[in-house]
Amino acid sequence: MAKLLLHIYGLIPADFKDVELEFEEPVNLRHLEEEIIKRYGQEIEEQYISREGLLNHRFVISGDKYGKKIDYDLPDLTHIEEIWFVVPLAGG
Amino acid sequence: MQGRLLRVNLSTREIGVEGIPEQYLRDYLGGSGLAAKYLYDEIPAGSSALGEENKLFFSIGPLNGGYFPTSGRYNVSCRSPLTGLWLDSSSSGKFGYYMGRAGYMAIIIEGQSDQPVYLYINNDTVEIKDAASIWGKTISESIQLIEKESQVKGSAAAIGPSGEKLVPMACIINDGGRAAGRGGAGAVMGSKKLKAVFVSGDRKFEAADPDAWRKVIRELTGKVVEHPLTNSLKTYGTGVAMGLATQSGDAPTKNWQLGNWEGYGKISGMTMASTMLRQHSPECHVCPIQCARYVEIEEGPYAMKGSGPEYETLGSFGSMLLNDDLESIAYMNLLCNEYGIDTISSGSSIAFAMEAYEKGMLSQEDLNGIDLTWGNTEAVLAVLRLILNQEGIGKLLGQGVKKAAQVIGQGSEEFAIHVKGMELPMHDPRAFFGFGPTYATSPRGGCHCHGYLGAFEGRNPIPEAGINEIQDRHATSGKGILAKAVQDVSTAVHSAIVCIFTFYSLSASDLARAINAATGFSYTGEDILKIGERIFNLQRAFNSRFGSSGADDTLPPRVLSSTIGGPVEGLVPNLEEQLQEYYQARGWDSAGKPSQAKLEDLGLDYVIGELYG
Repeated sequence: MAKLLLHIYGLIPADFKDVELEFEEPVNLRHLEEEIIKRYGQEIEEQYISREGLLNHRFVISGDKYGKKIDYDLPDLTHIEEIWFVVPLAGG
Repeated sequence: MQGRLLRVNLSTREIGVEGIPEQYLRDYLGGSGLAAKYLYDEIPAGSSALGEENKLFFSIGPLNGGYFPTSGRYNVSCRSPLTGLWLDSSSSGKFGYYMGRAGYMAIIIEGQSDQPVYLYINNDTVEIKDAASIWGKTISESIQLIEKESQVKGSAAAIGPSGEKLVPMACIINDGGRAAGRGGAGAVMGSKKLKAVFVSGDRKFEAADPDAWRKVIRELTGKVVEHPLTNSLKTYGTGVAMGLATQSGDAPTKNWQLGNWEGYGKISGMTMASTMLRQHSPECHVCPIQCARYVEIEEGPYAMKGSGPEYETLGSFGSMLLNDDLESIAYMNLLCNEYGIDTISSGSSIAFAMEAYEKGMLSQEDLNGIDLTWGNTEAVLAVLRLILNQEGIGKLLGQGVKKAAQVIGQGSEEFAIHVKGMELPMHDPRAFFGFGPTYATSPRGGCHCHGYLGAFEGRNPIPEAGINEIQDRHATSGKGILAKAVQDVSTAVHSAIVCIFTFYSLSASDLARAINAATGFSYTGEDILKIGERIFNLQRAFNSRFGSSGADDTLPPRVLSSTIGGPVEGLVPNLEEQLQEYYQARGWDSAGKPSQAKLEDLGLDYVIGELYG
């Protein structure tokens, strides 16, 4: 089992989650998103969920803590320290 | 619908009230639009921004003075001393509400006083009062003294020492730190020796259709309150965007060089909320969003309490300078508010100076002995004090980066980040491509408010403009069309005049319904866009009078090359392609000049003679 630190920012109104979850190895982006939807799907804004029941990447960015994009092609994410799911905001 | 304009001449001390022609209100709404109409008609070519012929135009719109959400706002317009071009700058708080209560949709201030004065307005009582005893004081001190003397409930918009000293990036502050921040309206006020405008009154807002008005307020307030972003802005303020910058790539870093920085989280709205935030500031009249912060630092070198820094200030005094000390940013924000200077332009000027120092174009001697290295918080504060006190290098940096680069030379123009002389705000066109054409064509120079992409790109469609699909932020095709539509909506919003943050949840059609209930007009959402387009073109014509053309519609070369690292590395907007699409959408020629047919279609026949000579 691998522990992954996930940051879920902007998908749930005013609730920024920093959660550590355990996954069986190897774990890819699809696995992570299925788990996020399972746990928080009721709270996540509808538009941020895709027709396939994953996160809608028209709005949601997935990246490591340096901002490097993470996509579905990566076979295993267990070596990544922190994984961020963010709806960007260009406000202010 | 009736509107009254208060005209005050500070040279002759004449005061008069005029009716605003109903057609003006139909065509330009109020706020920025009404200002454009009056100032286009009244500010002649060749006049100086800090001279007697420039005019200062305070205005509200058809939704102000009552209880429409975020309707405490007001607009102030003039010819900008920073850019030499059109300026409108709006602020929140309660000033706009009290202008409405006083019964004036606009206050036009002409001429120049030879002695410091302030303008006192309480319903029909209008007096030019002596301000000798408050000249030189900070803004909060000045406002306290004026409010004490006035002895009625109201709101004052004032300048600080920076405006008095005619610093071209000086701003106007009201209601505990709300700012008409950009472009130097504070310096124009200073040139007129006008320290403040105080407004009060007890006229009741009367909607043309009271039942529809109550209904539309209830419904639209609900839409704003229920929107998910409202909760984020309420909880974390605008600084929430800084906490997302690692992923979005939106925050300019090290004077627009880097694409990422480990300090974003340390200066984010989330960190502010868990450290210095004391309450959500109640400064803004009937605002369901409440993004304004009230912060307190109890001890240490940056002890302060007051209005907290917005996202823009977190960028300009934080990521732009590699300064990750949030307390120092809050403190410098307070200093800027007290002296009355724009935080975006002043922080950007310091970033420019840092890079010039790093490259050996400015010496430590030039900087009054300050070692202005990246991330050196004490050095940043020291240079800011020079700007505020107009000493040493601060005199030059207070002129803005365009002027500073002209004086320093040595190729420093390459990293003077501005459009038309106004420093760019803290949103990166490489993160959101739509900012490319909106910044390049904004009538007041580098500005994110005239085309508020944040509410639309990658977020909301604009069906009234035929944009039914949400655009990917890094698409090229369609961005010119999007920029035009967003500018038209934003311009109408700044003329109505309400907070642009409501447009995360509201639409042009919502705005039309509200205006109709208030005025008895019968606009559609499409009409609202056309009004915005009319005003935008009129502001373009104003700029043409002062020598600006399509040749000025550009971005600094640095913003058109890749960031170093970060999530948007390698992504650069194709501005030329965007601009041609944009000009076509606007009905302008390929050089960016509005066509005669377009001007006629918008009812702007009266500008054709001057534009086409």
